[in-house]
Amino acid sequence: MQGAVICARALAVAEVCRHLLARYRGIWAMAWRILLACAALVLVYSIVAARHFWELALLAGDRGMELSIAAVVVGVLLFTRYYDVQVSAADRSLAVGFCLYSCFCVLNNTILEHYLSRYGPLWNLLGMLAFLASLLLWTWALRKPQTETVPEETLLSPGIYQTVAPQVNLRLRLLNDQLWKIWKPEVRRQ
Amino acid sequence: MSLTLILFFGFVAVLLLALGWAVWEPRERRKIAADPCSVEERGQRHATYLPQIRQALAPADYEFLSKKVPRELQRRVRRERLGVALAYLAALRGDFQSLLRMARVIAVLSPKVAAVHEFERLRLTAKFAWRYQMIRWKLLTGLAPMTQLAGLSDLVSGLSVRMETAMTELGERAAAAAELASSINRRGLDVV
Repeated sequence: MQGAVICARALAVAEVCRHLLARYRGIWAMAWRILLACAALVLVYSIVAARHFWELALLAGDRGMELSIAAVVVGVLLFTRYYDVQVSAADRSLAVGFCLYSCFCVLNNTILEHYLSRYGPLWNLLGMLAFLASLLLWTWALRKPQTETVPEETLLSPGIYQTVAPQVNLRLRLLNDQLWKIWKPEVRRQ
Repeated sequence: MSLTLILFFGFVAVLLLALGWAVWEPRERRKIAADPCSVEERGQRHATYLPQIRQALAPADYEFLSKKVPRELQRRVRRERLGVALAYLAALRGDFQSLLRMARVIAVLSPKVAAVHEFERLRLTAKFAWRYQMIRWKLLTGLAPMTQLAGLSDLVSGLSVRMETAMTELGERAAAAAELASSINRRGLDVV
């Protein structure tokens, strides 16, 4: 049951990501691959970092999924910030709610793993409180009816990016070389 | 505290910091977002002061002054020139950042984006930021030759010229889209 709930939440996060970036076809094509790779890496990290006991396998799997969800949410928000993509307050609150809830689950599960016997009832209570807090945030975010956004932006022709992007990088590299030339004599003296 | 606790709590702390940074919007960014024209204008503003800056940093001037004026005045001139050089360096960074912003706009509005270019730009930007700080520190301590700053401006102005093509197309397409939208609206009104 818990697995189904987490999978549903992961799908909801994927939908939020698609909603935020799918309008920008080029960025979305790159972003979803990076986010998926990021989620897989975080999952591997959480498996490696966990204590390896069979009785805690479910808990570890649950925590790995939650950590991946949180990492994907942070990743997509970093993408939107880097590319100056406009995010509505409702979308942002939804994403933040998902992330905070997942982070709290990770912390809660980690503590539970260590203090299983004493922490059980408190774990239940805190888990419920975290869910209620997130639910409150999502309810606040969606208190007003949402308008349907335009599915896709007017895009440039592909040639523009192919021409400009390497030139920008070349200019940056030249600038770095120039800065290096100023810095280099000092490094040599050291 | 066990290693597992540290690894997970540390990771979550990093995630929360990144989340805060991603969601937080400084006042400057809001101002730029509200005024799209500022992005285009800033790209060319400071690079046009290059001749004046070159004049201000010319060693010939300084040599002339060293023969004609007392030491106290020479120190003052040096101080003021340092101020000019630092302000110019900061302005150049501003120009560069606005050009990078334009590059990001082009990436966002392109149907196909190459991850290689995007990662390279990210890496070079980080490198630039680090070196910029080093140069600034060298200028402050009087170790950097000020004349070399002139070369930086050429790079920025050259880039802004090439960006113009892209921005022109962007403008044309936006105008075409607006025209299309208004014609659809007009037709809608006629029907009603």
